[in-house]
Amino acid sequence: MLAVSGCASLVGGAIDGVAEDLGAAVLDNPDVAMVRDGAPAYLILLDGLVARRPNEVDLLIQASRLNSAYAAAFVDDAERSRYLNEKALRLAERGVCEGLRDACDLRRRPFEAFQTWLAERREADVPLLYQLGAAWAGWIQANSDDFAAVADLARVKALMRRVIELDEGYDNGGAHLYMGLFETLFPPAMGGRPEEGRRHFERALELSEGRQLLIKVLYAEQYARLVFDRDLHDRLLEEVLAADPQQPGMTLMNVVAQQRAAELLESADEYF
Amino acid sequence: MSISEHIRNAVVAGLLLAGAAAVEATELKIATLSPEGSSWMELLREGAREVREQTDGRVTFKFYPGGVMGDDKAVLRKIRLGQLHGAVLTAGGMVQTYPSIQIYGLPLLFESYEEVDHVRATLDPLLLEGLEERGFVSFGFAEVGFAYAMSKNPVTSVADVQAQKVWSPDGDPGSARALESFGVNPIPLAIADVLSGLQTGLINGVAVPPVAAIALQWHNQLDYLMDMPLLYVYGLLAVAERPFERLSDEDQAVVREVMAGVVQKVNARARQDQRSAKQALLAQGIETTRPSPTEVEEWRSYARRANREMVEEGLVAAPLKQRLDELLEQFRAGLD
Repeated sequence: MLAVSGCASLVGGAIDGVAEDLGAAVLDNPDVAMVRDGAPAYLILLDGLVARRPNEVDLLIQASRLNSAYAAAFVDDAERSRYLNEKALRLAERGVCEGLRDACDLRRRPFEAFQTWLAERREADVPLLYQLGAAWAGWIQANSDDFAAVADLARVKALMRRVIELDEGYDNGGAHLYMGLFETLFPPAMGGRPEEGRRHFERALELSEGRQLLIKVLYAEQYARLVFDRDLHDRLLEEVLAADPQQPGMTLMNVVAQQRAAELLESADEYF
Repeated sequence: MSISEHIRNAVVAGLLLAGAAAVEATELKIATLSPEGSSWMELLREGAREVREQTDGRVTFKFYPGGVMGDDKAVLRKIRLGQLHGAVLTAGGMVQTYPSIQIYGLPLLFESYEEVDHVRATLDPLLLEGLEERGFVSFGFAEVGFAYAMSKNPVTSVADVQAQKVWSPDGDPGSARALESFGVNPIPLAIADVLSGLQTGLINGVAVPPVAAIALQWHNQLDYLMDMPLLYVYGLLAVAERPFERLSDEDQAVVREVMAGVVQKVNARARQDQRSAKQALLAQGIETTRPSPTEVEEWRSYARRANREMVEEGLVAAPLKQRLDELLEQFRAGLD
């Protein structure tokens, strides 16, 4: 699931202007090396702010987002990645618990009750639902050898499906990007639905109007590789490399996406 | 001869040697249903790198993951045509080539993984020989795990299960036959349609290993697991003999050793995975049911008849089945 959780733009109306500005400075920064070195200091600062105001929804959600983004973009070490994703998920859970009605034990709630709760959510809840889903997806990815974690995937899918119903354009169609990913985890013979996945990737491309480069990277890596379509694979990735990565709120992840695109093109001969 | 000519000759000779090596290099094309990123694919790619290094590039692998070459049947056809050289297959996929390969998958054969290990230590080599006689070099069997009955309603007896709407994989006569031998009329569906089948009530029971139930997210639609191993699920990595024998003896030995190591690792990881998956199911609130001793005996009598028929019809070689029964008896006697 890679860097997806890092692609979100900031939740509007964050009360703490400093946190918001700093967050934007991180996500808009094309200097990947500087962000990689500088972000930990900012994440520690955010920890301090969260400790001081533990009930502030927007702050919790933003801290969750930045922790996921940092883990996805820069952390290769499996143990650190698990730690950061766990932290991001806990922050999102706390934000959702504070910000939405009857939302404090969603991980443990029986699946049916979870779905009922989800069906009662409204468009205004989308930013919280989406970040919970994104952080949860990152956590599952970081713990993919643990079946207790994998067992939660249906809940994340349900969250993203609900976001699509309520506001599919949120975060440049990010929920479609996640669904594209989930439907292409397995080949059809093992229960995957690659064509369903392709439709989600295509819709995400439309909604983001090409600004979000990660979509094409995952479209190539997940779908094109799964169905062995090298032409599509190479075309998508070459488009990513040729694109301008500077986009408000997405610059950092776009630069990371370009690096990933170059790696995928390099390994294409071995794969196809 | 001038020094420069010496050098030129040396270079030309070097190029010729390099050319000869390039001609001799063999690429083994291997298909699998496992998707990129799975344990199988990660370990296979690791093994391929090791083989390439140890054979100085004379033997390389090309993998076709995620079922891009089709199902087991299509893959075997391509192997016969020489378009592919080998595959990771389910034991069921190899039945046409070597029926006895399904012996570990007979219903209710094993009661525990300890029994599986005891039997496999002796019988695996015999099955591998049987495959070689039929033109396949295999590097060993890899466990997936025990399949359990999982359902929306609690079940313990054969009659309970007969009253359920039980899924069988589309186009898999082996599974359908196994279910029918217990008097169950299975409902065939493609794997991709099982989740919605469970949601709509078209089916309400499946018999699969817990790892599959979780990976495919069916567990949210199931409430009970009957805690009795129904059958043992496993796969194998095999290469057709003809392309394999084109390799030099030394290179064959390298491939055998490295790829056997890969299969062993997959096998060991599967054992851990299935434990973790079964625990996760329970943690998710799925309840276990246990057949009473009388019910267990009823299950066994159905299974004995079904397994006897398999032997009588020649679908499993009688001497192999007999050897297996002896090994199990021996093991169970040791427990007393």
